[in-house]
Amino acid sequence: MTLDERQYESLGRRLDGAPVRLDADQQAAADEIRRLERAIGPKLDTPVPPAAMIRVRQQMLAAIEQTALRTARRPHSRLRPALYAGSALAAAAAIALAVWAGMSLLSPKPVTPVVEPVATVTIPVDKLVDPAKMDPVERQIDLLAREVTLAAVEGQTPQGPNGLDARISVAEQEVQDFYLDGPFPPPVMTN
Amino acid sequence: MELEQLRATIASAQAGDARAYAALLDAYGKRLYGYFLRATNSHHDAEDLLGEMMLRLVKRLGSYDDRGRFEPWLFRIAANMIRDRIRRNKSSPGAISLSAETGDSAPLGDQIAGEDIAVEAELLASEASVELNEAMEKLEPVTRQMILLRHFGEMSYKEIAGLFACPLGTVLAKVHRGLKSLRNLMGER
Repeated sequence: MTLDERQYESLGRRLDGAPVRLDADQQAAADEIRRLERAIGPKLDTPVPPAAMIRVRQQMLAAIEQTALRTARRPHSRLRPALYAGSALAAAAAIALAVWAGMSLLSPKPVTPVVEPVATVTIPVDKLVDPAKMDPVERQIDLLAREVTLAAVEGQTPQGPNGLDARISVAEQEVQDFYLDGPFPPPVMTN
Repeated sequence: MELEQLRATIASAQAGDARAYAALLDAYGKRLYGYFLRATNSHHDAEDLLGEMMLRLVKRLGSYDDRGRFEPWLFRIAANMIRDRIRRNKSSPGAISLSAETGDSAPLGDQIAGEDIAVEAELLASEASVELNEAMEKLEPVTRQMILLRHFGEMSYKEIAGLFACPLGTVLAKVHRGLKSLRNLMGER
């Protein structure tokens, strides 16, 4: 007999114990499956070599012992919530600092140019508009003037002790000190 | 093992009791070994896989809860191990018979010391076992797995369908055809 997928599905539910009504073909298939399972199943069984079982048991017991030792070496479980809380606070402080630093960079304070213009050069307007008309000396002076003006506009951020990088380093150190020396005593390690 | 006893044993094992793990090995070791043996056709691989299985149980038993049956959970791990091994050995020759396990003419019994020899010799001498192995080898791998999980894992057809992510009707069709093939190959009635 040939059953379709739908018939096999009902058959499967019936063999799993559901109260499903089967037609004649399904019933014949169910009986055949049960008969074959009973005939073939026991032939699949095989004894386990005793030495193999002993080796597996020893390997398993050794793994259990190692797991127990690793668990015993960890910091006391009562301190773990405190350590997690400290880590969370430190992480939150670091995130807040990063956000503040990012916002500071986006809206920088006006900077004092490090290099002030050392000279002001006046060049006739018609010569500025058409550099090709300048003689070589005037062209050189024009280039110098442009470089000086450019340097004055760019300026440089001071990197001394009051600089932004230094302030971030100080803040990072404060976060690290809080995490390491916080209100919780360091864990005591025992063997 | 009775259900209540099983629950108590699992709870003890989850708490790290080595005797509880030994009890689980005693209860399921034979079925797991049989499953691995029929799936790989190798006593060496079967022992190797059983050992690895128990190590995984030590690591993963904590993740088992009482909501699902224990056997399907256990044999799902075993089935995944077989699948992984098959993938790793994809380029290797197919499943070999017990008598050719060593790859040379030396009988398998000579490879295993002491009291194992008597068991191995008996298995090798069993014509039915060799015939069954050859018949199993001829089955499509998925069908073979389904039949083995049905027998050794005592899984319902619905659980098998869930494991293989295929419709229940498909599982029944494959199992029915597979069992008939084994019957024909082994001369069963």
